[in-house]
Amino acid sequence: MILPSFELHRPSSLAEAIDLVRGFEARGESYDFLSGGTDLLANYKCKINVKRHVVSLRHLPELLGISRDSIGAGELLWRIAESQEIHESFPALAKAAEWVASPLIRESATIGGNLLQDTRCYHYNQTYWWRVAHESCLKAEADVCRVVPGEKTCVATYCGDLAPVLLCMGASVRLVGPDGSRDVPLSAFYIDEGIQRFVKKPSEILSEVRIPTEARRRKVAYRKLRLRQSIDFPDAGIAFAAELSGSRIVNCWIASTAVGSAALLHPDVAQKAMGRDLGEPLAGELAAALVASARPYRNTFFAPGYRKEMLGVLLRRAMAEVGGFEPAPSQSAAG
Amino acid sequence: MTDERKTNSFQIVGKNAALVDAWKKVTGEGLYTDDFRIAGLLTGKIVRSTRAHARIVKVDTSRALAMEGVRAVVTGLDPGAGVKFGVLPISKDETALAVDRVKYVGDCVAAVAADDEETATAAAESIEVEYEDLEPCLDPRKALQPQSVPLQTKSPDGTNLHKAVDQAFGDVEAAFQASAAVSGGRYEFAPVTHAFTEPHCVIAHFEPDGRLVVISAQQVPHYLHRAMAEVMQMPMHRIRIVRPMVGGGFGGKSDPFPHEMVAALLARRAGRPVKINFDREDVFLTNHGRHPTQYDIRIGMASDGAITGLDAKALIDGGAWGSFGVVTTYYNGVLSQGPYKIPNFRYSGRRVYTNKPPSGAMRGHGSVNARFAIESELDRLCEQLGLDPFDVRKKNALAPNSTTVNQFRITSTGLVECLDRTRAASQWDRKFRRMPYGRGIGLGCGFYISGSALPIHFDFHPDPKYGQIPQSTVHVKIDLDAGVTVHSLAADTGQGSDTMLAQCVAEPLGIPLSRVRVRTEDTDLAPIDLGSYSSRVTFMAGNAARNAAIAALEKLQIAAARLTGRPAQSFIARDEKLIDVTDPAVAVSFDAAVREAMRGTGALQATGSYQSPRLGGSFKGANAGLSPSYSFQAFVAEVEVDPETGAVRVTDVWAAHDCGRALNPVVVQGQIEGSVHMGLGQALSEDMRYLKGQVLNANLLDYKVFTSVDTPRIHSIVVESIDPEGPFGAKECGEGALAPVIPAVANAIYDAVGVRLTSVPMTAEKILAGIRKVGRGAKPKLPAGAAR
Ligand SMILES: Cc1cc2nc3c(=O)[nH]c(=O)nc-3n(C[C@H](O)[C@H](O)[C@H](O)COP(=O)(O)OP(=O)(O)OC[C@H]3O[C@@H](n4cnc5c(N)ncnc54)[C@H](O)[C@@H]3O)c2cc1C
Repeated sequence: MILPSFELHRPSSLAEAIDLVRGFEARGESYDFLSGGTDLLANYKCKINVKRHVVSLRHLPELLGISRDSIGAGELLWRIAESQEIHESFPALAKAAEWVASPLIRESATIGGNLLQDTRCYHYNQTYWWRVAHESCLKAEADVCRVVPGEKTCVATYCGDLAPVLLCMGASVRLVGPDGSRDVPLSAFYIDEGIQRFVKKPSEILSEVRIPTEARRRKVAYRKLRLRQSIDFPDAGIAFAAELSGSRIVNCWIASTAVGSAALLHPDVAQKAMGRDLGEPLAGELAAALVASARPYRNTFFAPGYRKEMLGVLLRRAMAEVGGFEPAPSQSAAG
Repeated sequence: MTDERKTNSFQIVGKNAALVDAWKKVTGEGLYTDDFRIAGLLTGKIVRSTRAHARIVKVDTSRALAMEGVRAVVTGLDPGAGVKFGVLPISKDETALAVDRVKYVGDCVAAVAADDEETATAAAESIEVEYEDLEPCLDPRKALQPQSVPLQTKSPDGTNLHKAVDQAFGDVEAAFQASAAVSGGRYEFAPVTHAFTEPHCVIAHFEPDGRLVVISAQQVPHYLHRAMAEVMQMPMHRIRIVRPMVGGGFGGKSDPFPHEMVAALLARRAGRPVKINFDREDVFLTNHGRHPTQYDIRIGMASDGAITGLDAKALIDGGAWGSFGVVTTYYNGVLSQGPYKIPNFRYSGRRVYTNKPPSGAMRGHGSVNARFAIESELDRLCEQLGLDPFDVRKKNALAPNSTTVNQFRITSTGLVECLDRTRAASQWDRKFRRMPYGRGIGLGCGFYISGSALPIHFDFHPDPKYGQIPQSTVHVKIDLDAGVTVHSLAADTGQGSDTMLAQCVAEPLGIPLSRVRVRTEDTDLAPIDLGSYSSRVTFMAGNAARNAAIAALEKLQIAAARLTGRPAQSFIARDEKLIDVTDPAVAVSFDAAVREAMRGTGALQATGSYQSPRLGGSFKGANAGLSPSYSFQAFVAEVEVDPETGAVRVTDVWAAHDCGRALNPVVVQGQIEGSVHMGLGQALSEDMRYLKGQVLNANLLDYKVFTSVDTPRIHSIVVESIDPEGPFGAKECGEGALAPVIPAVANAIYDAVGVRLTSVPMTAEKILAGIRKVGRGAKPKLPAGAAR
């Protein structure tokens, strides 16, 4: 497979990048941003939504830096996974970064690209020839969905590992575009539709992930369902965070990934936990509520029924980690 | 020459040796097909069918031909493109390009050659094919019924049947009647593929004098040579096949392939060399992986654990072409004749064509699926009769120097030692049925051929008095530099056969490996060897190499005799010398002996060959599965099952494999580890999924090959039964070690959570559903009579 041709631009500052964007917008030319390319270029090779211009963000100093308050969008996942600062303050984030893809991919992949990665579907992440043979799909060249026949909105799955953890931490993203910059909380960032995906405008660059100080008070855990212990995207993922007073939950957050077109918080389910004791009975109750509300589609490796059910297991295990309790003994043989 | 098989005083054999091509590989200097640079090389691209079954109404190549940089376009109408070929002379049903009908999504319809990949890709995409859809046959059960348009013309009664095999020995029904227990079930196997590292790649090039050179990642250059000659309608001597380094084959590079023919057709049309380098998707579409199969089995057992009979029925999904399928159909039955005594046996196998990428040979060819069924049923019977799985397998082990009911000649067998050693190493008696819920241990055994006694040979003469063209021939050349060049067509596909050849030559000549260079890549230089399939290379090419070295040694002995006045037979070769055994003070250096031997003749040449003895019975199909020797295995797997998710983690595999003599123990260990890894993929994760006949996961992200992180601790146990006919006592170690791991894991899962799975892959979903059915905590009990 070869990369289709495009014009590559390598600005050396954020301002220069925005200038380029202004130019494309004025001339009505299509463009994409490129960070590690582990998502974008894989899709390009499949001739998925190839643009005329590609603007590399690799050399923007404004996109670098790791601290407890902010992570530059251009920071590499392996650096996040190994950062002392992140390990100490947000171990679940380090874990989630370490669980992404494979060591090789984490050497190029960025946190910005991770949050913005395209949604995925068996009918979409295929070569051009394959899509032609299959008469393509809604998200690519056709106007019908192959997962849910008749569906007019796309149900491709968002499979990022970092977003659920950052959602539970209350993080926001800083977007910089030709019209200035704005901060959007992650909780208002994603759209549960496989094509729209998020509220970021095409012209906006994600410059950093901002972490509020409250995040330091939260205990967070992340659990990921996948067949292999490396390479695989999540087939479901759950992050759980709580502010505790003793074992009592003062406030808590539940976020999921890879079971819909967005990484999403589940406030309705989390609501049930307020003021309650963090332990097995509550975990079972929340798990049941979460499972009941989930509706994954048949477009990833595991069957949707299984993924749905596993959400409950992942949540119970994440809660057990945060609460430091054993999930019911008969259920903990391994894992 | 005394028979040194029995001695242990080897200098080279049995010692760990780095592969002779290891340095080239680790430094990146080794040349694979894609690394060849030839002036004027074009890129070829294949246009693949987007339909599972359709008539080709029209192929419009006009846009491609008009593109700048496009040098050739070929379709099924090109001379040669429609010539039928196939790896088995008895079922040639493939063509380079589809002539009037496409038979699966991915079938080759047309091809282009262009100056660069970008142009070639664009040109291929510009070719418009008009199809008239036909009803595809995707379900092998339906393939047995008459079809509106059968896939191949030779099938009987308008069905898609490719091969039927029916065999019976003894009386299975009567044996079952008299058995203490009979157990059986249906086993199902998802399609799996080889997933070797290097995608197929070929370069075809006409030399200025019109001779065709084909460089290809092949396991079996000789069969490619033959098929190429037929398709290109050229005599074999006007074609040269080159096999560079190959990044793994596992059976997936052992057919002559359409893309190889297409490259030659394009090169002829373009008048320039053409390379076709596959993407991973092409590899999946070319497939030739293990046949998806439905396997029905019953086994009977007496109360003392003796197997009374085996009755099996296989429905084998062949995909669009024959490939090795006739052999597969036999092997699914006959390879169940070991490693146990089976006094009564019945088998009925059906291989059918379907509109899917063809199935073919894959590591453990024909034995793997049946083995899962047999070893699972044996454990069931053990449980019913209150017997220990190890005891039962030991009781039924084929004896050395015995004959099976279907006339397999068993010579060496180390099965009992394999069983004893895995039992001890795995601490079986402390663990089986005794570990906490969720943890389990299981046993599986295996049996495999060391090469097929009857080659897939087009020139076979049935009357023994005429003799055969040997299955392997090796030439040894020694010149004034006193280095030894070994010529053979045995294909090193990464398994280390070049190193094996070097060892088999160095040992009789008493020289270190550094004096030996192995040339196996070129049909112009190498005497014919049938190639790397059916685990034949060590046994057959190894014997030929050893024989060639012994023939060379005789010349050196005569030279040493001339120089010393001692009798030639008294010289042995050791430490780069020819030493008089009767008086070790008398010795001639290897170099001096070479020089002396060359007087009057020049460079020394010696030939050795190997031809399997005539074996077996005379009934129909008696030749299938015959081998001069067999390997044996006993594996134990230990697992942890997460009862909440159904996920299995295999923690340890103890893998005892009888390979005769381990010529190079570290390579044997590598083969065992590779086999275990590959077997685990079929057991737990690998599954080619289809969507209306179209492969859904034709990439290595969605087709789940285990990573190194998922691979358990593998404890290789090398058992050396010292085969009477193998080179230095060696037999196969590349394939047999795959099959046992699948039932070992299945039996371990049962031990862990009481769930008996009968289909692979054994996914978390299936296990969880099983746990739900039998109830959580349902750990199987120890057999009542278990003393230990
Ligand atoms: C085999 C494989 C396995 C994978 N497994 C996982 C996994 O387990 N978990 C997981 O989460 N991901 C996985 N991925 C996806 C991907 O590698 C990661 O999500 C990675 O973090 C993406 O980062 P990147 O820098 O490479 O993104 P890129 O490919 O460079 O970009 C991704 C998208 O974001 C846009 N973009 C990137 N940076 C910016 C920015 N600063 N501002 C605006 N737009 C931007 C790009 O235009 C593009 O649309 C896997 C990928 C592969 C190929």
